[in-house]
Amino acid sequence: MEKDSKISKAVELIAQLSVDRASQVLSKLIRSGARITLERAYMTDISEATAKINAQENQAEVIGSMVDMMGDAPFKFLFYADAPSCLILTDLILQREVGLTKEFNIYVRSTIQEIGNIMASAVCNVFASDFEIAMKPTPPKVVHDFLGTVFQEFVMGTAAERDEVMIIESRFYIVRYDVKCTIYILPFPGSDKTINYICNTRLKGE
Amino acid sequence: MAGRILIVDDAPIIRLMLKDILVANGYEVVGEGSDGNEGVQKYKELKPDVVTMDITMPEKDGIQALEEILAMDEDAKVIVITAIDQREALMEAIRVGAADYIIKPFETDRVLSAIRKVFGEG
Repeated sequence: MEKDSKISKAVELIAQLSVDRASQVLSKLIRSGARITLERAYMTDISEATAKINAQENQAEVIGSMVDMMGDAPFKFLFYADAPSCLILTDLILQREVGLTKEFNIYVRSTIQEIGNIMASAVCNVFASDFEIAMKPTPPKVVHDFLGTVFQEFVMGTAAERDEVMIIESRFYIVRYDVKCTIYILPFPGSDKTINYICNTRLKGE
Repeated sequence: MAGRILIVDDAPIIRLMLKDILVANGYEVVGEGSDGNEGVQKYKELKPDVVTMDITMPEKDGIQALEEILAMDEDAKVIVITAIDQREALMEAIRVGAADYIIKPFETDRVLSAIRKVFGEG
């Protein structure tokens, strides 16, 4: 895992626990082996992150599910998958032969909405149960656009208040299928400090 | 006569999955709603035997809708559905008067077990 030196061990731990929990839930949801790996947890300049996504993957059409997790340490959650992966995920969740879903429809959008909702709740639970931070998810918002546009919308609220944000980035691997999905977890301004404080306090107490 | 069920969930894919399970097992899905407001309205219109109600929904959430339905009909049977690990919301729904609960992602057996329990078949 690549990580920035500014990310504390506590945040690294919470990120790892979150993706482990999300892996278990995803496997159960799609009834197929799924593994989510934590690729990077880092602090980055918001404009640099946006520029990088725009330069590298802007042409990719994705469907994403954004959830705001409100509470003691509010954060934004984004789950997205590229277009072919969304079709595969829809067949998997409906327990039917992969390949039957050939075009975007309300069920494809809804599949991504629901996976985002369930996985955001799983991540939220790591905060709530392991670190005793009260958190509650809001209903997911589904977005279907080019990745650069989706990412810009995702960071919009936080970018207005600060230049640097913490991003926890992970990738999915699903057995037998080439499914490309990504999660971003973006703490609201101030939340990363709260998370650090609570995690460090609890880790010292253990 | 088949049990008459109203499904309330903002995700069409979940409504489809629940409907498939219920219809395949002899229940009649009399209506669907996509948020708490529609859930309350359709309960008034359709008078179903059982409601499956998602908790996290836009406009009016499942707990508010559950409260309104129970205020209209204290014998209403509402099974709440929530994403895994939303324990606080689940406890609140049970405190308000939910008849049972289902956790997402769900298995067919768990859905049927909750429905049968509420219908007194289990």
